[in-house]
Order: sequence, then C-alpha cells, then structure tokens
Amino acid sequence: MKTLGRILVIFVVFNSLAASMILAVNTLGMVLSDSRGDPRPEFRPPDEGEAEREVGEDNDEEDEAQNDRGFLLNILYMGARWTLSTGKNVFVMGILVLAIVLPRSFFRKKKKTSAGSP
Amino acid sequence: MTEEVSKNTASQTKTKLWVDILIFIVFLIAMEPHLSGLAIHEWLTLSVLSAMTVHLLLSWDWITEITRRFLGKLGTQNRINYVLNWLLFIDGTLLMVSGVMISEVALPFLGIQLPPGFGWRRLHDLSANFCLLLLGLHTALHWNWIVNTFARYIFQPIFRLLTSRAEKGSRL
Repeated sequence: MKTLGRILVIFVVFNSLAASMILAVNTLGMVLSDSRGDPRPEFRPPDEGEAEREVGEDNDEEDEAQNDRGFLLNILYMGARWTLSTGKNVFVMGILVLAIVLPRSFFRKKKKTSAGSP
Repeated sequence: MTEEVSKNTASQTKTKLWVDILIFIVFLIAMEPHLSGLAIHEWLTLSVLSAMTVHLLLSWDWITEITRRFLGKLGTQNRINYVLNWLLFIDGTLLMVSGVMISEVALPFLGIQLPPGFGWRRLHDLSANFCLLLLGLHTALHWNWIVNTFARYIFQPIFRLLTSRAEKGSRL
C-alpha cells in the first residue's frame, strides 16, 4: 500500500511536469507561428535506404554473394559506429566523473595529512 | 550517499545496483537511435520508465528526508545532490514528453496520433544532450557508492569464486 502511494506520487509529479511542458511548448509554438505567419514544416532528412533504393534486375548468384558480403560489412560498420558513438558518450561522462572525483579525493587526502601532522 | 547505504538493506542495495546498470545500458543504447532503429529506441525507453520508478522508490527515504530538511540545516553535498537530482528528473521528463510527441512507432502502434508540435524534435535532442551531462554529474557525485557497491556485490563474489576454485584445484 505504501509503495503504491509512492508510485502514485511519482506518477502525479511526472504528469504535472509533463502537462506544464506540453502547455508551455504549444503556447510558445502558437505565439511564434502567429507572429511568423504560416508554420514552417520541420526538416526531416530522407531515409538512407529509401533515397538509394532502385528497381533492379533479377538477382543471380554473384549478386547474392555480393549482398551477403555487403550485409556482413554493414553489420561490421554499424558495430564500429555504435562502439565509437557509445564510447564518445561514456568518454563525456568519464571526463565529468574525473573532473569531480579527482580533486575531491586530492583535497580529502590533503586534509587528512594536515590533520595527522603535528 | 553513505546515509542512503546505511538505510537500505543489502538486498535493496543489490537491486538498486542492477537497476542502475540496466538504466545505464538502456541510456547508452537509446542515445544512438539511428543505429538501434526507431522501434527499439522508442519501446526500450518507454519500458525503462518502470526501472526509473524502482530507482526512485529505492531512494525514497533519502528523497523525503532531504526534502524535509532542505530549507533547514543540510550539508552542501546533499543540497547539490538534491538540486541535481531534480534537474535530472525535469530533464528526463522533458526527454520522455518530447520523445512521445515525436513518436513514429510506439504511439501509432497503440493507435494514438499526435499533431506535430513546435520544435519537439529539437527539444528532444537538446534534453538528451543535457541528460548526458547531468548523468555524468550524477555518476560523479555517487562515485563512492558505485565503487563500494561494485566491490561488495560484483568484484568480491567473483574473486571469492575464483579463489575457492583455485583452492579446489590445488587440493585435487
């Protein structure tokens, strides 16, 4: 029962925040579009696959082998890209952790040594 | 954070550790929607809401205690932590709301169609980048807890298991 009440509190706070955000952004959007005239459509880049898709001839064995190789290369490429971009995010977080944890432990050690010295 | 550790039982701390690891992994996957695909990105982030709720429930005592003491006598670290956690909550909410508003897979699948709004996509990107920074700060401020809990519940059991196996091997 206690847990349910707490979940309800989290739900209410989350929803009130969400509602106020939707209200604020939509109001701002309406005000800005009124002052600008017609709202401009949001820019969306075309899907990579769709842009390059073409109607081709029937696949033969060579094409299939090439497709398999292409699929494997694609997986490898995606894996490498995912590793790099995830590494970038972890790196940003790591820099922040280092920037806070290292000076903190340094000052703590300094404090300890100064308290220990006669 | 040490207060939090002393209040939580061992099983609660262990649960919190696994929930946090799960949230972290989901966050890393969700940060790259063009690689994971939109469907995985949307369903994964919607389902991690429950893990976030568990995370908040496990920190409930700390939250209520600091909320009560916030205007009175309170240490600087707890105060900074509290403000940062609220910022993270607000930013997380914005991230979720803007994500829902631009949803192309999950909401249409549930039969919900939302009208295109002003700048939700840009807000989503902005709040995601801000979330990365806040999560970095959150991790940094809880670094001692992370190191201690990892050592107690992951590294020490693995080390014990390996040493007991090595002892058994040497006996045979």
